[in-house]
Amino acid sequence: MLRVDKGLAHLAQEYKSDPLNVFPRPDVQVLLRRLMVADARGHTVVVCLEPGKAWSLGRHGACLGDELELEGEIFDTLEAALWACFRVRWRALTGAECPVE
Amino acid sequence: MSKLPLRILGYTDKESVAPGEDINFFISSPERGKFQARILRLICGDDGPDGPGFKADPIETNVDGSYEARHQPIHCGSYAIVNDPAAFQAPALTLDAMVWPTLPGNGNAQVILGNFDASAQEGYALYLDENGLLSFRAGPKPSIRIARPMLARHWYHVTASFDASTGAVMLRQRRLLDYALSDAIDSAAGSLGEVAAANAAARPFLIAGWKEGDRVVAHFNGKIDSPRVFAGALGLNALAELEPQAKTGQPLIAAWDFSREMTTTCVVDVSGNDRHGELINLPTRAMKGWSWDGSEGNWQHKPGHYGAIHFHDDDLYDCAWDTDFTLKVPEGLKSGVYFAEIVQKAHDLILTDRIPFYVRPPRDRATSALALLIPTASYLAYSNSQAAARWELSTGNFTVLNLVDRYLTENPELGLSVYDTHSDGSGVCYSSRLRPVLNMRPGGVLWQLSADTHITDWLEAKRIPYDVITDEDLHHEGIDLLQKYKCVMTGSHPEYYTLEMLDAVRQFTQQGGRLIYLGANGFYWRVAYRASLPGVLEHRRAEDGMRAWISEPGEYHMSFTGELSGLWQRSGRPPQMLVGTGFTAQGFNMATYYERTPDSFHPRAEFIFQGIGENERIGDFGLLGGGAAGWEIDRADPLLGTAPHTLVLAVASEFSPSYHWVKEEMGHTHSSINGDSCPQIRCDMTYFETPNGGAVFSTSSISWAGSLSHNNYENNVSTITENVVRRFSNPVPL
Repeated sequence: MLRVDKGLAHLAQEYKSDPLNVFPRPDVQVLLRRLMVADARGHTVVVCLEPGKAWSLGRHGACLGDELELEGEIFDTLEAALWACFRVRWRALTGAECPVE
Repeated sequence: MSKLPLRILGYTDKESVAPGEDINFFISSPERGKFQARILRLICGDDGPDGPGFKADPIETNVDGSYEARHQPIHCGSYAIVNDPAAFQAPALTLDAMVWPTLPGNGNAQVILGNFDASAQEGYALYLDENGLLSFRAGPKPSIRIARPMLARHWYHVTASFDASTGAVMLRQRRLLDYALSDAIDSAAGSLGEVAAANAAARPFLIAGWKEGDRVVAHFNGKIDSPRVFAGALGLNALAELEPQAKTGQPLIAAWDFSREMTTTCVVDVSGNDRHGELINLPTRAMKGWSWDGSEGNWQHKPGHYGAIHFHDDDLYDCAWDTDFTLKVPEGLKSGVYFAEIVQKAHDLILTDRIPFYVRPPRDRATSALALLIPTASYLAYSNSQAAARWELSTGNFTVLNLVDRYLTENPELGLSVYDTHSDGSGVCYSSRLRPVLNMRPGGVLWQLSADTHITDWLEAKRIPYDVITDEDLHHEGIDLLQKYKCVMTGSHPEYYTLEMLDAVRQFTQQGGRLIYLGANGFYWRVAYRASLPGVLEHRRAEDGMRAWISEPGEYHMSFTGELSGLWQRSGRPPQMLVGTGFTAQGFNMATYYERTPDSFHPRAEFIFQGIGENERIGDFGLLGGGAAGWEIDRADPLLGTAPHTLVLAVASEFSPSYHWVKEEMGHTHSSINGDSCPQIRCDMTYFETPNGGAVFSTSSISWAGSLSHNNYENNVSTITENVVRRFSNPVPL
């Protein structure tokens, strides 16, 4: 399994440059799969506040009925919100900050 | 408690209605005051910034007006009720059941049997306490309990006796699986002292819940099998000698055999006292019982092995709200997709809901050559799905939730879909429309209903007359419904089919009918309706397929009909046999274009490609992923039943790695299952003739309909669709 650490900063940078790229290079795909989860409950996700206009991050409730906890920052593009989600997931997996701001 | 904006919500008693008939609407508002209601004909439900825009025409009806807003509650959780209160007021009794708890110790009381009322603090109950300890209580007294908590997903024989005159209680549990280092048998004895309140008033006897005022709460999560109530309080030795289901000399008050009348909501008392009960909120029947030994997987063959009912605290069948208004469908009203628009001004909020329904033509005739078959069984399967949180590995990017997703996950009382699991992790087998269904409304995500209105929008733009019929209509009326039409067109994702529906469509194509399969992943899962329970569908995720959850072994046959559920392919009827193509892959991050094949130049296909260039890319545009081929896609395969004379007209193959090959075709897992390397991941547009002048045209893509409106409806996807619709609606032989 791919070890995720600061040595993969170039892949993080590549995702940041185009988070909606549907044909990412294979090593970027592998990194993304390491950061993704089969069930996002209990994890940070992107929340659409207004279609096409505003997004935020939120922590999905762990159980059905739990409230989704919204984070404060509002993003005006989906790409920006996805990149922010990437960084949170990186930290959640590795315990360290993503080396790319 | 959710902090999301309040919602006014509603649902109807019917999904499809003909002119002259009535349809009732049930509304609940969180705020008092008045709401306005009106009826609109829906043309396009796509309210996104890139689409053709939301289009609906108001219709003058008897509904127009103002109504009193009120709150109507939803009570989830299943149980059985036996309305013979006096019978269970015995001064001394013994309770006996087999149980398979799934959430012991979930912090709530979970009732097995009894007539306890938590508000009155009267009656008695055998239950699991909040820590998963087998307990007995009577009246307001503290319970007697067994110290060892129950294990989840283990069968236990539980017994309790109670003598109201002395307050003596005996409890015993025996785990059927014996493990080292852990006793399988536990017991407890004690006295509650004087408990006059235990039998103070006659109360209904409940299985899997107890009363709290007008509500039933303390729902059991798990299976209960063969519950019995004996007259007289047995001692511990006698409890130890009780064998499940075995006859004893002790007089019975009731003994329920859940394997009887499996297809109904009745629980049958076999004690001879006829104290039958009624199931509320559809707990799952046809479940393996304590005596299942793997020798049979079909409950109809060994019903005795299927004596369990699986109860859940989140089961919901019918909200059973009171009617707020009734639409009398005007005579002569054009067939189509309609909705009631509900608007309430409350303080500084405007609360709205759009409640869809379908107006079919008069029952004795068609009003167009073309019928649009709305895939309402599939809408039902997805109703209030919680699946949004479980797709990121399929979409190739992180989860993005919208407002409806959030509302559904924070308000689970709206019930679940067959894509979900119950609170105890078991799969949801039933989905009902007798509740507000938030994700099958006009507007929002382009999936099922809203996506299918790209088709109605296009038909209106092209001025092509059409009737609207639904899956429930098809299920109940079969070929008699379809044979009124020369051409039938599906929605974008007609995934769930009953046997009756599939037979009818097959007959239609064999008798000269022409079918346009304007979608993908159709005719895939086998489901069932039940005549005595309107508005609910059953499904089991049996054997294989792209499953949201996995049925337990031995639980593949549906309780409604006994049919094997799961894939139609596993019942010997792959979609390729019906429409030439069948589900091959899904991915939700892009869509692509088709390229013509040599077959498309065959004279038989000439009418389809009139106006299309030889090397033209077909559908390199669209609202669902930017192409006409995508989201879910189908392919032709002679080994799965594609007819030998089928023309594969065009193929799309440029799919992203997030597209995944369907797992039912994989012998073993390997690395070549993605859109960038798997040869089976392609989208085949096909055409073939059927006997007696019939024909089938398949686009094999969910994204197709999302391309119809491109360039003001002037594009090659629109041209091909129009060529086929007009030719298929023409009775001249093909």
